[in-house]
Amino acid sequence: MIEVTDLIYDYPAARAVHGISFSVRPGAVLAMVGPNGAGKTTLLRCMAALDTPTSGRIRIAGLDTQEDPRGVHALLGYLPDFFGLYDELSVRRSLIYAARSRGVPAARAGAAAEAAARRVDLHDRLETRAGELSRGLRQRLAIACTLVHGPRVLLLDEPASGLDPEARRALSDLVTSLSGEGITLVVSSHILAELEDYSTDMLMIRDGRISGGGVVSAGLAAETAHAHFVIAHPRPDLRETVARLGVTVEQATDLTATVAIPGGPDQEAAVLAQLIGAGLPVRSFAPARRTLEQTYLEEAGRSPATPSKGAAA
Amino acid sequence: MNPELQRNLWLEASPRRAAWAAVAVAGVYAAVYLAADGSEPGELGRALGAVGAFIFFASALVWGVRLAGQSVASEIGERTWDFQRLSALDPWSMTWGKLFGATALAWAVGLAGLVVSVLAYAFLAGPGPALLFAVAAVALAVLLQASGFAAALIGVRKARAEGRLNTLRSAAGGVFSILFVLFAIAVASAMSRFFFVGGVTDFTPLQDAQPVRFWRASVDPNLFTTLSLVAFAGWALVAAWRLMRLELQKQNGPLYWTAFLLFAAFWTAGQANPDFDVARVNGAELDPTALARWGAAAAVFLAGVYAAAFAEPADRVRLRRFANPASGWTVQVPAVAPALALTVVAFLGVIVSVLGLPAAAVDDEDFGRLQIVLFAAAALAFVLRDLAVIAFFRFGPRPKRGDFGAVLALVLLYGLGALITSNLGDAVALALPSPEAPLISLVSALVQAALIGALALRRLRGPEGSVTAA
Repeated sequence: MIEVTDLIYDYPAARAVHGISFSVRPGAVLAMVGPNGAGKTTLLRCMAALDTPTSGRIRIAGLDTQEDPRGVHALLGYLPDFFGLYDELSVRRSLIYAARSRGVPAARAGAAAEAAARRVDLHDRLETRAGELSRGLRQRLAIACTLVHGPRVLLLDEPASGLDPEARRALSDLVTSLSGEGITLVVSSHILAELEDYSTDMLMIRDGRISGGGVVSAGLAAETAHAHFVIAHPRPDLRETVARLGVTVEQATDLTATVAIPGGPDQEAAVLAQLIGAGLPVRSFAPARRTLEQTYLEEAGRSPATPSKGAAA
Repeated sequence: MNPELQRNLWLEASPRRAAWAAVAVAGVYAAVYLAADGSEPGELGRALGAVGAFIFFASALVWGVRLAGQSVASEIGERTWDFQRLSALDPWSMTWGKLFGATALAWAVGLAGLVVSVLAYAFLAGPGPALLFAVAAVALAVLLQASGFAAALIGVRKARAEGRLNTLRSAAGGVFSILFVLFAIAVASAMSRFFFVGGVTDFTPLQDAQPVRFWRASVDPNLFTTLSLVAFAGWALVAAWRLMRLELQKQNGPLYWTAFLLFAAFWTAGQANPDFDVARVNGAELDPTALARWGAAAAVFLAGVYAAAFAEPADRVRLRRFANPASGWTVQVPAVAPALALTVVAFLGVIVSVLGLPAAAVDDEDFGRLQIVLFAAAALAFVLRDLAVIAFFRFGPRPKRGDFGAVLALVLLYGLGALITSNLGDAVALALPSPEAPLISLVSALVQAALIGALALRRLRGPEGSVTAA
């Protein structure tokens, strides 16, 4: 759905993005992570065809951002980190304007506005002025404005910044819901916890370069999950017993062990059955998938970015 | 309805604001009527007409121009501009929706003044002049508002390329560029007519005056002024539309800019008509019509060169693509290029015109044809030097100060250079294009252009290798 090839972006006095290449599959929720100033916003703006890169190509659903920027604009929604709303307009008028300006016919604009408001749970505030909404509700309205024309790709730049826990949970639910509808999302953030719930892939950016191994699984797919179990009575041969079952033991004592379980929930159930079948008195079995932070730190450790003196926007 | 127009009407011309504006206008007229109560009908008409004209001036030409300029700057300040740039509106819809939407209330109030003014004018002078006055007034308002809007867009582009947030101050560069072009055209026009027709007073609109000689035609001055305003208002709208295209990530070719320069040169050169019989200089007959027209055109093109050099953002990516057309990117011709090419053509026209004059008229003891040709070449070389200076400063590590640095450098090079060399005879030709020593001027300007151009090219390479990002 998204292909970025050898992208370079220069500011007048400095290079912000150094030859980045990656691709995002359709329906993915890509967490674009990295420290402040890593170049995430610059990259997102280039992907939204708002800024022109120095060199390199970006294709969104097959459209080149420089050859057909208006085509790209039509099929994506972009929420910048510092977004604005027309404070004097009501929620309804804000959404109708968003719909009309994004090409929704006048006859359908009202319905599209109401549908978008419902999606973000603002349908009971349609007549409220945007300026009277709380930070979290403004965020929802801004997202609704980006969704109102039915984009196939959504780019969100630090969407949870400044939100309270409840609003973050609502945002997380919304992103999960949108992902379920087949929308490809790229979410930029430097706060990993907020991405944990919904991202399927991760791309780490540092100093304008890709750090780690490019786009990697964020851990939700659980290709390599773990399980920690405790048995009721000490078994000095616990490691050997488990290993004989064909399960990879990562660490073990007489009472506890941590095993690697690739394959997800079904495989976890199968391993548990194997342990019990082998006569182990399992009293606790806790699958634990990799967190995004673990993935981030592992990838950061695998291939650190070239040290730099500054940071990119 | 155009969604952008509708949004602006929701925000700018709400029923409450419109009602307050109507009350204010009605109050002004009522006060004038009461003050002039008992006067002759003619005096009352003149008073109401003058007040109406003032209301139009204050609303459409001052308030409206300010609103038009702010219509984009405020979007950036409120961080809604990116959303608008992503919209599905085509550039023309966005342009007119924003231009006339943001100024809707100013237009309503202004037209309330203009209608009264035009009716009073029709009562006093007849319907024909009143109609011309109405058209001229509306065209002038559109010209100024669209120019303010275009200037703001120039400021936005420059600010983005320089890596800073746009502010109202950012639009200043665009305002100056557009004012510079308009001023240069007006001056070139007035000068042409001053020298060859007999006075700039002819240019005063809507007064009894001598007919304007435009090329070989004789045109009523009021009609000429009105048609000129309409034409330039149209070009201002074209400028706003073309700049909006760039904001919406579309690419512009050089066609419209070139066409505008040609039109402005045509308009200016058409007024450069000798108003006297063929003169005699050094005993030879002299008809300077062609020289005057080429000179007027050259002045317009030169203004276009400098305006383009400052108005376009310092975008090294675009310049690299222009320099490397084989890269596969769509080539975007810098606006300086066609203006410079036309300037060269106009200078050649001046030279050919001079060469076409009788020998006795131009070849005297101190000043010959060769000197005229060398002088023209030196003037062009100084233009190249100036472009190199502008590029050097604007592509520097602090692009925010590039415009100021370039202007300061040019002032110093010309002003200080002339001051230092003024007492050194022909040495002044090192700093200025000198008709007395054109060869020295030519060599000096070429050397300066080469040196400063080389430095500018180094800066154009950009920040590759730098690991420090903005």
